[in-house]
Amino acid sequence: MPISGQTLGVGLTATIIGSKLGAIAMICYAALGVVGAPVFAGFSGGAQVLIGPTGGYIFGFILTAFVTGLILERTSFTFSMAIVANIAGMIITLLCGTIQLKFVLDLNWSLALASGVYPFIVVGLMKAVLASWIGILLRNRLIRANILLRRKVLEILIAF
Amino acid sequence: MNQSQSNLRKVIICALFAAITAVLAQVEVTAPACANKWANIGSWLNRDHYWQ
Repeated sequence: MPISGQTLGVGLTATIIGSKLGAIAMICYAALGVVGAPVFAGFSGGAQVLIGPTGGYIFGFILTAFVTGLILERTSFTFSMAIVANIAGMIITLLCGTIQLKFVLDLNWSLALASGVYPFIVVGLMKAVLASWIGILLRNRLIRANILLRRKVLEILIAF
Repeated sequence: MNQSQSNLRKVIICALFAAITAVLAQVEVTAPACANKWANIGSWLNRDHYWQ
């Protein structure tokens, strides 16, 4: 069973740049795929991937990035909170993916969960811990290097 | 930093992280045995199909 690093990228993005920019980055990622750039797993791209069985995971990335970032912004950008936020994000991704998988392939719920959730739980938890550890480490380094602005300043700058 | 510089920074950050996700999406590993056990639990939960 092949597991891609997509969700690791989503977790890292949200952990480092937060909810709004994280969600926008995921919209950019999905948009690049829709116009045909081979950015999805296995160098695939095109709108057919988004409306196909696994498209729900990609839609889920947008919500995942937003919620993961929001949890961290409302609490603190620490390793322990990042793990909580990334696990919540993993659940959102798996749920979004499984819902589309169920309806596109016309599966019953138990088969949809068996195909779309259970195989990814253990690896998903590993990726959540990895994204939290690398994400918090990188975020702190980027803030120290003045490449990324501190949370409060960033919130003011990106306030719409 | 003025507004246009701030917007440019945001665009660059978003594009960069979209690109990082695209690169990571191409990294594929085979799930460890423990994940396959979870998949088997899924099959077990779905066992009622065999009864129908």
